[in-house]
Amino acid sequence: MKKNKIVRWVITVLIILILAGALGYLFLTLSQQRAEEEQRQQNLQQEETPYTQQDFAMDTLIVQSIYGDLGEEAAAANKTLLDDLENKLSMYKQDSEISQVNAKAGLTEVRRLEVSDDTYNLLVRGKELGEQTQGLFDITIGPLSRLWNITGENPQVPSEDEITKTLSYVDYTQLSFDDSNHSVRLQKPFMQIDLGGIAKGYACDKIKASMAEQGVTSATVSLGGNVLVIGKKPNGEDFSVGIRDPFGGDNDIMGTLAAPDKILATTGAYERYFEQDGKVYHHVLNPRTGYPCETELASVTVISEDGTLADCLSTTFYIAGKQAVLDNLNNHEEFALIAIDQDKNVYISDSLKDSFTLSEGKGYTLAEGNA
Amino acid sequence: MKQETVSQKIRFLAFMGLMLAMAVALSFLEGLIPAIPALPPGVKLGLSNIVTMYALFFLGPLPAAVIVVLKSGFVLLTRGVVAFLLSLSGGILSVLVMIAVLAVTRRKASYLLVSVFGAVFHNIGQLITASLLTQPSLFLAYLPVLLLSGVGMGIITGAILKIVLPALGRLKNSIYRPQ
Amino acid sequence: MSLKQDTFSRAFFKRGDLWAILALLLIAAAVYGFSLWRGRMPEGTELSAEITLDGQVAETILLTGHPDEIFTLDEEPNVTFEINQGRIRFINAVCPDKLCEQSGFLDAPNETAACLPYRVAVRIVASQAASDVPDVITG
Repeated sequence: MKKNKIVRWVITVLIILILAGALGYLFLTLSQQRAEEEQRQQNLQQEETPYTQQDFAMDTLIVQSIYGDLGEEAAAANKTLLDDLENKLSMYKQDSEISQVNAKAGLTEVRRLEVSDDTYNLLVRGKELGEQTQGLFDITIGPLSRLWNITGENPQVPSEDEITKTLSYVDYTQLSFDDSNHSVRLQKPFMQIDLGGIAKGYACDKIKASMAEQGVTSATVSLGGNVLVIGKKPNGEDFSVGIRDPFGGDNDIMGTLAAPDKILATTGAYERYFEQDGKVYHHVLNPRTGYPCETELASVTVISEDGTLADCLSTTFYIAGKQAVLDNLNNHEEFALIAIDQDKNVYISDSLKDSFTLSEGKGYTLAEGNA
Repeated sequence: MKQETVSQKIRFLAFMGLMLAMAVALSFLEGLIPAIPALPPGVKLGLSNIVTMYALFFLGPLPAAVIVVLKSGFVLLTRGVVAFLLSLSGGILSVLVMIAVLAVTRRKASYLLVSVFGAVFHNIGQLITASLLTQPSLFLAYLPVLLLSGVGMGIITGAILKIVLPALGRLKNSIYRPQ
Repeated sequence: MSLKQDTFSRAFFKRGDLWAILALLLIAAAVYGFSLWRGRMPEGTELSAEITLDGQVAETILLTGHPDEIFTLDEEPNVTFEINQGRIRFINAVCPDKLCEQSGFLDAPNETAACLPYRVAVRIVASQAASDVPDVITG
């Protein structure tokens, strides 16, 4: 009888142990899953807020959003940097270096002007880009910009004669450099340099370098159509960069892109334009025709680590048109493209496809590859 | 006395074989019944539990466990490793819990109680194995419905056992002839 | 080997059994309530299907907003899934008992179904929907 009792208890304890073991294992795994989920939720909730600052500089709204303790200092430093660049590079500021170069256009060799490193380097780069784009991007487009004056108070369509005359002053090859003393000279009178097509991209490059020096590892800066992304958010997620919906309002987007450590530049006709006699004249002037470019594209976004290149190419591809975009969609390592045509077809480089999310319900379709 | 024991052993083996055959036949029969669409997967009557219970009540714990293991072996041969693991885990846990129920109640538990606990833990054993084989969250997802169905099926199998008990008794008596 | 036999007439049912059965049912209800609590979906919850092979996550599919689709995994062509209106279920597994097919659609967090013969399981995982508002806009 006593032996029986012991056997019973041993069996009972054994069963309880087996059950407890299996159940324990299950609940351990389950609670682990739960902990992972909670962690994920917490990461979403406990989002650190960045320091944000809005300024007006370089003829556009600058929005800086910087994570970390250095946010305010860095933003102030960037603002100083931008003001400094504007004072050197703007053709609309009387005493800027560019204005001085323009004022001395066509004067003798002796009057060539020494300029700062920023101005010199950007002019050299601008001329190179002119060569690379066969003049479709031309930094001596100044006279044409002034003639159309689309950003001005009362823009008008110029006469054909005026345009023909003005086009003769647009020729980047007539810009000459002397590397020994960083001096530049426009060789023909009436020529004018307009760095509007690359200055903001160059500013992105400068800010990127400056922030790296200051130790900022997580930030976004937007300068009009140009966006600089530094690193990722503190929670490890990518910043999501909205691509403006060219057929929508200021804050409408047609998709988002995760673009860590890239600079994005977008050109579209929706930015600045005027209407005359029922026709829309936008601000992207074709240096070959002298008129706002005729294009089947609604916008072009160029993604690159080189802000100057991105800024230049977004304008250039916008002017060059859809076929040029398709021809260059996937064969360049230094930049990638997102282009939208008037029929809301989206052309996107293969390298971006995984990080791009198309907004739903806006009528956009991803076009298939290289036509 | 000695003569008597040898004869008893042979009779015991014969009866065990008969029980095993019945268990296998019942589980085969159960497979023929189409699964009831309204019920979640894995809810089965557990008819072979009737044989296990009978063995437990009238042959003892060890023979009952042996029948469970041998029946699972049969499943291994006919339906593969996964089905074998499910059958074995369900059967072993079920028989262990039924033994425990009898032990704790000093063999006084009712047919119904043993049957319900047997069915419930048959389901739990299978569910534990299924969860470990695939996805742990399967356990909590199916535990409520399998507890519920275990209670229901336990009541049914307990009732069937009670009904067929006289027939099984006669079967046993035909082998163990009354002295 | 002696014959152990019920030497008394065992009762089919005793009063105390009710309490034991009630306890089992209460446990079932408690677990069910717990899983309902775990499965609650606050505003903006997105559901994903986590498909595991042999206990290893093979694929995670965002169900919220997923177009209706019937598909198989490359790793296990014998098991077919269907996504319908943001829900997922097994269909047409090449196995004898077809148990997984009866699991029906899964559409709440932590719901799980398994196809045992192929050791494929699918579990619903909830996550907070990423905000649609981008951090910065270009253009």
